Amino acid sequence: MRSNIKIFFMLFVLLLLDTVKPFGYTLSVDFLLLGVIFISLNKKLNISLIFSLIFGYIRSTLIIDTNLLTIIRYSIISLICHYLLTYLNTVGKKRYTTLVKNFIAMTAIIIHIGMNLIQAKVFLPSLALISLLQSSFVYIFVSSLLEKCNYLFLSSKAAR
Amino acid sequence: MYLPSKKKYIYIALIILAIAVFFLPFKGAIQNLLIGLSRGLTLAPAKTSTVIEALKKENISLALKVKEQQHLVKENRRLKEAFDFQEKMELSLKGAEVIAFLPSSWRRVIILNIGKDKNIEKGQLAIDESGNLLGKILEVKEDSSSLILANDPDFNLSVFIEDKGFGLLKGNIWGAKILYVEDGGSINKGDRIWAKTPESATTIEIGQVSRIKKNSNSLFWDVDVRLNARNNIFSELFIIK
Repeated sequence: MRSNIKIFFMLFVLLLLDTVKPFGYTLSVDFLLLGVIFISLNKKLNISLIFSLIFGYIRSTLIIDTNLLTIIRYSIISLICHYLLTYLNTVGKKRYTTLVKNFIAMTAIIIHIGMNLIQAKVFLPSLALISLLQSSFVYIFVSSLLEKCNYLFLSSKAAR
Repeated sequence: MYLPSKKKYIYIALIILAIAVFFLPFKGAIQNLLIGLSRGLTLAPAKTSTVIEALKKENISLALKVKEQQHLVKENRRLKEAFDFQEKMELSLKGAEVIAFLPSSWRRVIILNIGKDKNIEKGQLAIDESGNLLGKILEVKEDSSSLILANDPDFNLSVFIEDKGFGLLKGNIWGAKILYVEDGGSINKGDRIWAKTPESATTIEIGQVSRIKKNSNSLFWDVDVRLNARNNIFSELFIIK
């Protein structure tokens, strides 16, 4: 229960970061997406799906042209992350597990960028690359920080 | 020829190892001792240290005041520029502050702190302090409004390219492009792009032509635009009323 409250608080702060954008449009990172990927890779499927659906819905209320894809986008990403996590064997050394998780996170970010480009009906490889690099760096930094602090009791509750 | 025995090196290595093992538990104590000694050597008397501490505090508060002053000077300069622009163009401007952004990196929509309460209407154009177009009002609520920036994929506005042609400006996140330009033969790179405000006959500068190409499969020309307002961080802007 305490862990779930912490997840809610973390995702809420990330959503606030997305709306405040302290670096304006210089940083092309969707912080909430990174949070959803993080909980998908470190928590059980049902928990991550519920949170991704709740926050997908809250986020969609702030977006002007909302459609079904905007609401369920994070849930789809959460499902993809879980599928890849079960498909790729993460049993083994911690370093190997971290590498696999980061690879899955990057794949999820690429899928998210692809979805956005299709929705915006633009083809911008340079912007996509910048977004991928910035998001990956921020994800690796934030996830390593959260794992180090054991913020979400990761050792006690594994994803699978 | 004298050759040193190998045993000698083994003995030396063993002695060094023994010394290291012996002194290893005392590492922290030695470190503390050295730090204590150096502090004792460098530390000023108690009265002087209190004065230094008070001066440091004063220094920090002064530095904060200087930063605040610098911010006010910048804000004042921006407002003055906007006022000059308003005087020069005889426009009625309304200042607005940015309170939030749309939570997506792939849209360029910002939320402003004024709405119907300040007579803001849908379609009104927003400019920066230099008079460059930033975007147009998309949605108006009682005390807030949404502004779509010129580089948003859903932004569109009819514009003129010098006096050589006209078309529809459309954002593409990275910049913007002009669609439906029929007669682009005379258009050159660097040509000025401008638009008319809906409320008055004054013109607003938008940007310059950065690339022009004739598409063989289309009737129209491809015109890429470099927007003048290239600032990615906004705090305040002005709406033309």
